[in-house]
Amino acid sequence: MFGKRNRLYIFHETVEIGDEGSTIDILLTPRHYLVRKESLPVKYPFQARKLAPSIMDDLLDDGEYEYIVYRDNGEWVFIAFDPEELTERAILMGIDPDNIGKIYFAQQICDRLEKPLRLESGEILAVVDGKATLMPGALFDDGDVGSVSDTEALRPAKSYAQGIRRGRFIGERESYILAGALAFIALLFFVEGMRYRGAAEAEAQRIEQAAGDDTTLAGTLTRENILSKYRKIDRRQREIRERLREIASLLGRGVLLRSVKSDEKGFEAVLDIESPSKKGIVESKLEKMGMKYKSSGTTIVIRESGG
Amino acid sequence: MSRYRNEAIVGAALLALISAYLFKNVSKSHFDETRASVNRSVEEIEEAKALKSLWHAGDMKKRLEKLKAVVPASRLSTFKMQRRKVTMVLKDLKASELNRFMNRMASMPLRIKKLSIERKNDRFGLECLCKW
Repeated sequence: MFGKRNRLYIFHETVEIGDEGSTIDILLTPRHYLVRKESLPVKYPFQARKLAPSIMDDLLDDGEYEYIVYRDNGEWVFIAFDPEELTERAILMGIDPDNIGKIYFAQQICDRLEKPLRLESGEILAVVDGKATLMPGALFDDGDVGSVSDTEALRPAKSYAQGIRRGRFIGERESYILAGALAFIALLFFVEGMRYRGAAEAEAQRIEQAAGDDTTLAGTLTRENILSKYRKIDRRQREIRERLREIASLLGRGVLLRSVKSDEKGFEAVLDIESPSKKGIVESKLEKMGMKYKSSGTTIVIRESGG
Repeated sequence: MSRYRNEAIVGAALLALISAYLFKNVSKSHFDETRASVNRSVEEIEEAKALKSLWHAGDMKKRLEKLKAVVPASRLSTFKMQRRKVTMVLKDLKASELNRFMNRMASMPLRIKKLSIERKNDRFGLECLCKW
């Protein structure tokens, strides 16, 4: 796949394709393109390419042309060709247009045409006024012209066009615009993704900042152990204080505290009720508080198991 | 090979777009999970620090001396401090004295390990083992 070159053929009516079915590269003769050389005060090819339609306008008939622009010895070379016409020609020559790979132009090999070249068709490819030109073979003697023994020797260094039927559903220009837009959005997504990655790493550092000097809290297992221990202590101690506060709220005239006991096993308080009328009130309050109790005579025993 | 070149270019760009979109989404999920996890951890750290500073206070000896002064010295039978532990035995407390002592003690971050209050006639006896 890589490094393998397609065979190069000079594109003319009598060409014979030896390896049908495989992709071939073609060198177009001036019959299939139009060329103009201009000295323009522009620096970059994309600027020159924008000017190509207006520069070539008076040379071209109506049609959809593709323009090739490159710089040669300080001058801009403008080449226009009609891909549709080329496709029709290829079909007439028995070449599958889809099998055409790189396209070269005879204009690109002007420096190798010091001696005119006789093509298989008998026509002569020569340079006239700096432009590759096709001339009738009868104008030259055999001694004055060279022949094409190896087309590979004519292959220009660079190809400016790839295939003549590029894409069945999308045009070349559209494909570049669409691909560019998609690639731009992809880049935005990628940049956003990278920002999220960076932000996630910064987030992780907040744990160490929050732990401060107590580095043991930064570790998940240690932190969970410490938290579990102190949550248990906190819950138990708040319960003891809440029970003491509730018991204190029950005491008063006719209700006396006999004893309170609190340890790991649980909590127990014994109340002496001096007046029978108070007993119901105390029991009602205990029920509202959700405390478990046992009532016997003038004594109420409140008991809860420890957590 | 060149037959679908334009489509291949657009396809490659589309593939890059889908890949970048997935990458962004995975990164965002990772970030959201990390942030939620970090927030939870930070809350736990703050809670652990607060609980530890409450129930593992360092300056309890001075505060216990003040607690001792809440009741007359004659009521104090035992007041023993050892490292981070205190044992207190009080006797013949009036109800008001018991009330004052308990209120003060309950407001202190002492871990009440054992508490026993017994009434004898109109007076109360109190035994308490606390840690901090």
